[in-house]
Amino acid sequence: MIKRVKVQAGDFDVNEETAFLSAVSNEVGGINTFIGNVRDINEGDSVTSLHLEHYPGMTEKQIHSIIDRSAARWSVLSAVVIHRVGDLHPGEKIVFVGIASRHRGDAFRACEYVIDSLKTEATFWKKEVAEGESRWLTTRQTDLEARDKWQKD
Amino acid sequence: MIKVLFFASLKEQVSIDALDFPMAESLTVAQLIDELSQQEASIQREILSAEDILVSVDQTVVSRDFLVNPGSEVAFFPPVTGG
Repeated sequence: MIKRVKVQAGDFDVNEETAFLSAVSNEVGGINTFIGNVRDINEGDSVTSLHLEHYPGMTEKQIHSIIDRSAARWSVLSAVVIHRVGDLHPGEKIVFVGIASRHRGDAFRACEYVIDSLKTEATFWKKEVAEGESRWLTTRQTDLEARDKWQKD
Repeated sequence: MIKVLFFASLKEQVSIDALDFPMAESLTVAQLIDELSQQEASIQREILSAEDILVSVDQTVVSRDFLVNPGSEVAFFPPVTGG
């Protein structure tokens, strides 16, 4: 399994990442990707910007470990996770998860598992500026439920 | 000596992002919190002891009874909100 993990301030090119996922092997039969964006409304308030902080070193290690766990559970030929940090604005991309597998079922499930795990485990924190005030976001119950469903399956 | 890091809202609450803390012998995380709060005016024991605050040692999340050895990197942070 080939991995690419990046935590960066700049944007990423989705076509370049899917080409990388595909190029690892002719065994690749399906690629599933997830892209997370900054929304303009959160909890009813109009969002001006989002500041993302991470723990350099630890965050990257955690993402590698999440990908490794997904590959132990499903057939994963290649995986890319890119997460942006710094200041972002509504409409901008925050996160990319791409999984290439022999068959689509593995790619779909591994991709969802990686983003669900990343949201609840990886050391990233969001601070939002909305309605002229900044506030650190707190964990969403729905994210915890999404994580927990992988423990039951 | 150990390195102590604080992230996100916690960093703002204690007004410190990183500090080197003299530590000659191993302490549990709970004992370290007591020591830090006694020696650093801006660090309150209640803030670091709060149930939802996470602690990592050498970049792995640990429990409050984990033994911290000199030379370690210890970090305190709130629940994560990435993705």
